[in-house]
Amino acid sequence: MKISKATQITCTVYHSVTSKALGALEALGVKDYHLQPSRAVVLRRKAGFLGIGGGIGLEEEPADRILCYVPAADAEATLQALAAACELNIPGRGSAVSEAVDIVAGSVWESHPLTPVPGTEEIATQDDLASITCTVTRGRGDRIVKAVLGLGMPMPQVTTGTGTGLRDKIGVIRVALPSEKEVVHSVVPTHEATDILGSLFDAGRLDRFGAGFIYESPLSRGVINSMVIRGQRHSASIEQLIAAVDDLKGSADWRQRSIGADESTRRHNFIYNLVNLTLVCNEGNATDLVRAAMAAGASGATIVKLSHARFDEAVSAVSPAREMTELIIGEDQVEDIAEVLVAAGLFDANTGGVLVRKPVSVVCANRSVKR
Amino acid sequence: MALKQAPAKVKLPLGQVLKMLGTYAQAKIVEQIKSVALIVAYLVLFQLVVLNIPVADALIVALGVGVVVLGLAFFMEGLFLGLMPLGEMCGIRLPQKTVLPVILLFAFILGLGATFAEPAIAVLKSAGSSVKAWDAPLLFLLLNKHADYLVWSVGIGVGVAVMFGMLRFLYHWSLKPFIYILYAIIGSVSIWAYFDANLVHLTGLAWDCGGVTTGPVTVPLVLALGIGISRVASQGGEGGAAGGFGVVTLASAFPIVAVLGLGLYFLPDMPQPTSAAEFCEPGNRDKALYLFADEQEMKGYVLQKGSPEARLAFFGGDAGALDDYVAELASDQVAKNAVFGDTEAFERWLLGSGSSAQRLRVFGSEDQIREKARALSAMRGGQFDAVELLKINSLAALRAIVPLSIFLLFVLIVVLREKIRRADEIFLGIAFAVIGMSLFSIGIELGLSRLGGDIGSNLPTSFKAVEMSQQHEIIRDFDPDIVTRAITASGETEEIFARKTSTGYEQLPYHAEDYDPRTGQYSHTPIRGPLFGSRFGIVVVVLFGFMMGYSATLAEPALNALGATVEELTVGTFRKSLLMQAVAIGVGVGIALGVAKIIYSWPLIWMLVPPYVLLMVLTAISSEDFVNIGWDSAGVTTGPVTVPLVLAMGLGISTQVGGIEGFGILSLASVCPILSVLIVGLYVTDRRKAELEE
Repeated sequence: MKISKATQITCTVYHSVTSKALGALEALGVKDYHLQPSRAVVLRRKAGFLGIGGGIGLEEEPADRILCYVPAADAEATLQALAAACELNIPGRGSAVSEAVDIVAGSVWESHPLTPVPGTEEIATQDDLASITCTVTRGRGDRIVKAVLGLGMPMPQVTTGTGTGLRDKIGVIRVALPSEKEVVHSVVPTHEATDILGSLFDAGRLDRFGAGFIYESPLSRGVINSMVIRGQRHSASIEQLIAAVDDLKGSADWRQRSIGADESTRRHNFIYNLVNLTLVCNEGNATDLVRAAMAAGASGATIVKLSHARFDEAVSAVSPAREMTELIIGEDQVEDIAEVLVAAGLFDANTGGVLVRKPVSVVCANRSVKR
Repeated sequence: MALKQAPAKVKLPLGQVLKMLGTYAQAKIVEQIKSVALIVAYLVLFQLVVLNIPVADALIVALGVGVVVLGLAFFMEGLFLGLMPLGEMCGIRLPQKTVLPVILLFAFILGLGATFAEPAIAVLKSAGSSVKAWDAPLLFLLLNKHADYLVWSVGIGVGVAVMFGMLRFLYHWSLKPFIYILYAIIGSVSIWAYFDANLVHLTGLAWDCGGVTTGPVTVPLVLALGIGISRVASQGGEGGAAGGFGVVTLASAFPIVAVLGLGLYFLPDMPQPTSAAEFCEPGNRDKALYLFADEQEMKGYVLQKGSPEARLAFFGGDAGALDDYVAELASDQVAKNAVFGDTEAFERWLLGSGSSAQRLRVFGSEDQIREKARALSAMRGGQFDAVELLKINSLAALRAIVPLSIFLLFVLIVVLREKIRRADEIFLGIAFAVIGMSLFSIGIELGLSRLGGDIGSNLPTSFKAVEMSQQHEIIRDFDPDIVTRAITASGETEEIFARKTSTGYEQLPYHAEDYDPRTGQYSHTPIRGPLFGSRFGIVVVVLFGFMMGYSATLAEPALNALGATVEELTVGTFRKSLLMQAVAIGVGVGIALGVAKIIYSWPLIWMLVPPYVLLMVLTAISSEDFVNIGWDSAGVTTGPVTVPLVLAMGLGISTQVGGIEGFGILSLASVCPILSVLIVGLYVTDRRKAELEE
């Protein structure tokens, strides 16, 4: 399997800021991008009316996830450009992260160097980041979102998709099983990532069969949105907050953010060193491709809808209506499944497929799943 | 292309399948119970508690409501499984595989076909029978002689609207200029029409035609198509979340323009509205005949619908000629059927509206007339024909759904050479939609319409004395000798009589005109009200109008589909519940205003012009997303739940207070929700902007 190294850039901004982000990408010389609508969630402290209806609730706003692949050497410049154009250093605007990926040869992608726009302000980017992706049944996403925000992690985004798996094997009775999924994306510090993974697994009660799926993958660098709660009248330092909660709880026992690494490993079924084989193709083809992959040993996957656009308006085999699905599989399965996907027509002219391999650091799975 | 490598089928045990189906059905039915619960509870409570009138035929009504719930559950599921995916698939594939003219042709045929399939169009046509030729000649012409022109012009209007809708998506045109131009035309013609005796009646029809075409089948289909097309045409989602909306707005506005245009075309040939007698005078015959196929038809029409003076006027004041004609009809079966349909209808007419000379001539003797009257009154009474009901409604559902689905499948398979993915699911969806729609319309007829009709006629009792025509009863073999007198506080006397009931004796007022000495029957109609005194009573009625509009809107299927689509497209940031609440409150306010309009007979034009002017301002300053969603939701509010309830109530109140048109309510019910959605939109946009600046 021939691959070329690249970097995937994922930029999440509020819908009203999207055009700025796209402008920055165009100025850099990025040829095309994928876009996925999502909802970004933060906490909001509400004043209420005469003391009624006040408190902390979720606040949802439309946001776009912009995905593009750039040469590894230009990753930092792209992050800088996006951060500068969208003012991502201001909390509450959005985030941009990069991750190293392998693009399988044959994909509709060509590497060409970008031209950094001179004169943009240096904005510090962070390393030590990981992304956590959690897929649950439609309607249960907010439970995960609350847990993410409750752990102090900033602005998760929710996207929607359609699940496949057992559902496609049972004939027309499948209509009785809801297939709509919600996918919660969040960015967390690497050193806490696995603990948070376990906590979210518990919060979503994902130990029940078919309740959902959660995994963590490494990111290279990024500018993250640190907005967790809006509508605070007064800001308090973190020490003040900790002292206040100590006071409320009567002790400092609550301060454990997780149940501890050892305890967590004992309680959860962590599976390490898997691979995320992401395929993107023209709308309508993903179902057949996923079926083929499932026949070759992949378990179910969630298909999400994307839109694709080119900045240069050139005619291409890539349809503006696209589908993406992420197959989380073992290292040893990659070759086989990639082969099956190619045989199933992933790189055909009218499919316009892109196949990308990314590492998955940890999957937290149901006890019954063994590797 | 794709490798045929379907994963092995898993055979589920029967128990598991049943359990899955059970959970599934339960979830869907509970959802619909929630959506109709409010309206049903409200109607029943109002009847029982406020007006203190038992629900007539409670069992049938309860059955009807149950059937509505079941029907809605099937129908909504059918939309999401079958019709909407089919529409979206067409939308995605058309721009990729064909050229612009083919897309436009497809859009036009779809719009035209949807109009012919829409059951409400048939209702409009049948409404034509109640319009009198002399009251509103233009309206009469378009609903009777030229009803086909009317349906075609509405269909062409919708076809052109869908075409423009698709062009909008392909070239990213804003909806705003369309709104300004179309409503400027509609507005100016409507205002002009207000001062023309013939046109003023037509505007009501035109506005209603705009509303009925956007029904529960057309709206979801056109939405899904638009979403598909704009997914392919959008530049990376920059078009905003509302890509796919806006066609409903156009499909409401274009038919209004088309119908007004048709009316203007015929206007110069129209006689002026006048009294029935003047209309029938031989001197006016040339112009009057324009409304009918020939003189024979007009003769029959005048006989059937005209007043005695009008009938006489038709024969130039010659009573003998009129009597001859009636006698000729009685003996000529073919002519009788052509005019009245059957012998029974003719005899009823003769007994009810014929002169005594005509009755004698046809029936022979007084005894025979009495005999006939008894026989016919014995035949009266509502029969409940379940089979007929099922047949009519399932045919209508089949007609509304199947031809359109076949058209879409034909386009996909033959024109676009596409393989239908998940074909089993699509066909199941179409079947669900047909089953759902038949059940739903049966249920509406049995349940909601009855409740609505009951309440409509009873509602005015809260502020004035009203004859309860529903509780009208015939007392047989009445003897006028039992009538006695009673005295009022001011010393006047009234005639009363007493009667024995199962629980005791009751005294009833006697009105000489209700006694028919020929049949020996006395018809008694109880009178109730005012229950709350006139001012507070009116407040109760207006409040009731609000609650009814609000709760009926929440049950509207097309709005539910629209709300679900909006939520889906905005990934949950514009919740279905928020949209539905905004629309429902808007409809409620609109209906409350409409009720007040009827009671106080405020001129409609003053109630419509200010909101529309405000609406234009709000449209100009709102974001494209909210303009599309707001205007579209207005188009879908006038659906199969709201319309019968609102019309029944409007008619009920206006007959009691002596108004003529119940029409104004519906147009107010569609302008107010646009206002409310746009206001919510402005608030949300404003808050988001403030947050970004925070």
